[in-house]
Amino acid sequence: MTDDAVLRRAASGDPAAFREVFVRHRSDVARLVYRMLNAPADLEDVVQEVFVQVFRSLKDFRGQSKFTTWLHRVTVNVVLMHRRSARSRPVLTEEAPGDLVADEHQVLPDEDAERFERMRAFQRLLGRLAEKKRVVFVLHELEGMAPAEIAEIVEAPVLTVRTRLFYARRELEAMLAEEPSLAGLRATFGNGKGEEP
Amino acid sequence: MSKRLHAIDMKTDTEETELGQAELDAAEDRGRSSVLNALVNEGRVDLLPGERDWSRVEARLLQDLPTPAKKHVRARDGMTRAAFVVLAAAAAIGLFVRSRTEPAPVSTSTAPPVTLAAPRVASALTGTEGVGEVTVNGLLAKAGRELHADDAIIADHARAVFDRPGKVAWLVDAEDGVARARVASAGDTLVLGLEDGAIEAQVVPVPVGEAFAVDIAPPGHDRVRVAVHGTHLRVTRSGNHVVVDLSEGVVAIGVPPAEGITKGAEIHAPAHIELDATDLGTLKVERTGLRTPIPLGGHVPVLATEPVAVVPPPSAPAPKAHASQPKAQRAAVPARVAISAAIDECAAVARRQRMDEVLVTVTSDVQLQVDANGTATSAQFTPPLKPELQTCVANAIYKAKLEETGTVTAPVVFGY
Repeated sequence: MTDDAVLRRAASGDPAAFREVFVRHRSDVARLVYRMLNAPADLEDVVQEVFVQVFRSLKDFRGQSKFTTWLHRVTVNVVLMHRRSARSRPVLTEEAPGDLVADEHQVLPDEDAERFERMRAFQRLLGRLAEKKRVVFVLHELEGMAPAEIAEIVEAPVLTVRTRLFYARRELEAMLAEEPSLAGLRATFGNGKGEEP
Repeated sequence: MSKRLHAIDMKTDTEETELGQAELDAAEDRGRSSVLNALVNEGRVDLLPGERDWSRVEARLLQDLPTPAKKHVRARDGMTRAAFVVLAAAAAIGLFVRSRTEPAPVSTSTAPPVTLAAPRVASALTGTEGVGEVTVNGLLAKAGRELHADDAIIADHARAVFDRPGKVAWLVDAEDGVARARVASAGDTLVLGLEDGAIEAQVVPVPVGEAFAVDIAPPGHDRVRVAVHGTHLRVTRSGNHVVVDLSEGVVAIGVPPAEGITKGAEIHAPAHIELDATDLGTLKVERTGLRTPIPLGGHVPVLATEPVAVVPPPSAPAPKAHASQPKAQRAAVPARVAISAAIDECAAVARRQRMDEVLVTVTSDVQLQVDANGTATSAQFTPPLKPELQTCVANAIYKAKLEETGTVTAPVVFGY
């Protein structure tokens, strides 16, 4: 069945069609939630909440944008609401972020261990960005979306998206220079500018 | 693995100066550091959630989805449970307002209608206030957004104002946090579920049945409902702690039966009521400390002066900047001057909030009731303004000490 047909049936309240929507898109949603949330323990709950909201809103989806763009918009909003709700209450979390915690008994090869530490540091730094900047950075740099599509998702002008991206990169670069666990990476690349814009 | 308590750290989201096209192009041409490039490239590969047991999430998801059949069963189960709750007599609280002269008949079923027809519109969003955002089903909501049964509303550091024309004007208020509510039923009775924060409503009285209700039960408990025939009230929930500020009307607090009216303690406005939603014995009623009602639906409730001696005059609940004006230092001004100044102030705010260039002209009349001290005790707009404008103008007028007393009527005309 085509995406359009599945969406039409799901919008009319067909549980089997909605299950199909879930199966087709859960991985993309989970990946974006994981990259934005920085709290993997909540990942499944947030993914579930995204699809509950999708189910409720599907009747309002008119197809003016791609479904995936619309789905990303719902996902971003749910993640932001989740973070804001969590902001004011103490939460019990693991000492180190979830999925990137190595098993105590697992011995990683040196290279893997270094890479693992780098990703932990990267996640920490991403978590220190203000949310609007973090959203556009994750969507563009990690999810590979164009600023025009991100503009639709965050409901802001393209120039605003590009500005947030500019400041996000600048802040991250400043933070990278101070991050001890990235000393090896800095030594390898120095402070030179890459070719990739 | 050791665990610790900590609060999630989030930076304040201030927007930097927007850059121009040329400036951004130049910055992108210069590229970025190789270290950031390397991290991003690794992140694309490594920052993945890993394998998940999606069947578990799917099962929970499909179980939670509000299908018509499931709603029907849930409502029936709720009524069965309600009968047990009556016997248990301690776990649930129902609250309703009824006529002072005779008990009003109550609808015999609270179940939302099961129908395949187009969904009924529960209400429409007329506006939002505050620095935060309002979403409906996870999407940012703007004025005009219609609500239907099962829609979920989240107001994050914001207030969302809704209207069901001729029936009820209501708002979801986050105050300084996040408010969560949902539309439980969009039938003749508009039923909302309040999970967190506050709902305030101005309900047009109905001769039969209930026009509006708020479910306040915490998760895992039987349904607890605040049912309203026609009044102004605010229901605030934080966990099990529920506060009802009743500005107008009469409420009875008790256990809602499956059929007939709720029996219980009858309380007249003004009343500040506090209770634990799981223990009726904790119910307390005070005649002071009543929160100032927010004007809704073109009507600012007058706080009744009987049977209590002292009721604080309405001061400004919003915008917050107006809340702490010292009234002792006010000099009396003509009402028309105060109204004119209030309009100027609010029109300026409204202009700043508008995103388009369309000029909106507003024409209305405001009728003030002014007490002997020169303080406005109520403001009635005919026809009503947008709720946020109305609130702003009313609050600005309340700040002033007026020369006149009694009833003062003045035209309100401005553009923004």
